[in-house]
Amino acid sequence: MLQNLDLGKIKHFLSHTTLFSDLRHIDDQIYESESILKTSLPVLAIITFVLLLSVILTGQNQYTTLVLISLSLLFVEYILATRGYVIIASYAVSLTPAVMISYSYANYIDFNDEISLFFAFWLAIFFSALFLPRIHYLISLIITFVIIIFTLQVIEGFTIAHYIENFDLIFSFVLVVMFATALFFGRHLMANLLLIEIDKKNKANIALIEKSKSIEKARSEAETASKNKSMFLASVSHELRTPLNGIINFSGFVKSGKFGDVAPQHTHMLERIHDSGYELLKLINNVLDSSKIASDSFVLFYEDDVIIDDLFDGFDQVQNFKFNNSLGQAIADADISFALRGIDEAYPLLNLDADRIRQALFEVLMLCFYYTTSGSVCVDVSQSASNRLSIRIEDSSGDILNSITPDLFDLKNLTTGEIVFHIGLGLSIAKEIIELHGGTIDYLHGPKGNIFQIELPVFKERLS
Amino acid sequence: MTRSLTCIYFEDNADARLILEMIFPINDMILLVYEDSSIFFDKINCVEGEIACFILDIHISPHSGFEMLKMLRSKKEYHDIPIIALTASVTKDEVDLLRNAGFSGAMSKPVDVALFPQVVLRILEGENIWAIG
Repeated sequence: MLQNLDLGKIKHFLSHTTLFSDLRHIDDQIYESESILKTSLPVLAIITFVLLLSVILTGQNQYTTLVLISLSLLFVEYILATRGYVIIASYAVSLTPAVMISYSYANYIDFNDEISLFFAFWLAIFFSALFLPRIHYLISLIITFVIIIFTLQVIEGFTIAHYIENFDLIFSFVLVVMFATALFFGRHLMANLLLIEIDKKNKANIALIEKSKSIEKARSEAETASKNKSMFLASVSHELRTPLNGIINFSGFVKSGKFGDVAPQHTHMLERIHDSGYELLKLINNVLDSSKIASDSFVLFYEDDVIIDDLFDGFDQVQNFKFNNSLGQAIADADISFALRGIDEAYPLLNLDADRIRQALFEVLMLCFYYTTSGSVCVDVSQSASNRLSIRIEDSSGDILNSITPDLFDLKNLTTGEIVFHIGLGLSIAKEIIELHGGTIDYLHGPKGNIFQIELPVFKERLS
Repeated sequence: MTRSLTCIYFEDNADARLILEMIFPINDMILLVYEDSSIFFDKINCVEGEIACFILDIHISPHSGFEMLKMLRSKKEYHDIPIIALTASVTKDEVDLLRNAGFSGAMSKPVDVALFPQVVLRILEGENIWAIG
């Protein structure tokens, strides 16, 4: 039962107290005290009965009340201790017999009531100090001596001869037996109190262990669920990619004339099959990326010495992007101009995962083109004052995204409708990619439309 | 008589087989296709001409791409021939498995028909390429 508790600390504490300093096997002592306590009340009752008998037989009736009060108090202390009021009981155990003994002694030698109480108080502290670390015991011993000497010598004019003359064997016997009983009882009561505390802590530990097991079980179940989800998505991806291989490539072969001439009215439809296949493939890839992000397994593969032109390679041929706007128009067919500015400047070499950054930029661009039915989409590249690669993407889509801007990048906060409109997966992936590079992406709503401001700490000089 | 270069492809999916047949020949390299991996040593031992590379579908039976790779690498005559994985599984774990198993490179499905010949040629030149995406 005790193996989960730090008994070393308890031993260490007890070994520094005056009363328990001789304890070398506190574990055994604690167990022993449990059985002793079970019989301590009858034992105390027998001792008290003997005391009562002795004081009655010897005519010292003034001690009867004292003994009964002491017994009652010890009983109350026992109840307190077993109910868990450990600290109160501990103090009571040490204070009560001390007060009673010293008060009776003070009365016995005919001190007046005030002096008796004063004397009793300091003696009680002296006894109490037995349960305190040694330094307190020494301090209280010195103070007690000073008080006793002051009381006896100065106030009461007490002398050694006076004490010898008043020596009473029965009274001394009562004092010694009561003190020994109190000490014996107190010592084992303290041990039992420790046992109760240990038991409490043990129960708390067991509860903690149970809770910990329950948390561990929940974590394990969550991990399994996450793993199953990843396996499911990987499996779905595999199963979807296999037929897509046929859809994309066969439509591509037919469209390119590998199987003969294609009627002009069929070309557009073949292109739609081909492009839709790629859109579906992109969606599958985004679902897989989202799954990786959710399971913290989304990783970057950094490349060294990437030049800025590589990062934006092909961006000038925007009509090649397979982007359609919300009216279903391809970029080339819609009245949208595209500008890529600032990549002609001299930039330091970059250290980044170029494919992933391009993916992030495409996601943002696709969103801008989706919502822009006329006007322009502009990408401005520059080196910021804080030595970051700054990319500002601005469109003229009006205020269509204004109502959902607070959660634009946060997939779990978007509604199903918002996710359907190309916002959810792509932007949350873009944000993850940029943040994994140590960068930031902010959304502003400009007078013409959306503005995405991306800052990336990817210049090699800064990193090295 | 000139010995031709042959690329041997094990694939159980008919569409995938047809697509690669459409892509080949690459340079002068021809494609030889098998639709399952049973008695595959008997099959490849019968190949006339020099084997340039193997392209293995991973999820093929009775021997998976990994099992075939292990058996091919254990034979002295096939040990140094590039072996390319062609898979529709594109998770990082799957790619790590391919890399660690000893494949020379990998390509994902759907096949990028424009990219495919370049990747094969670069792998034949000794590069390790993981064209997964």
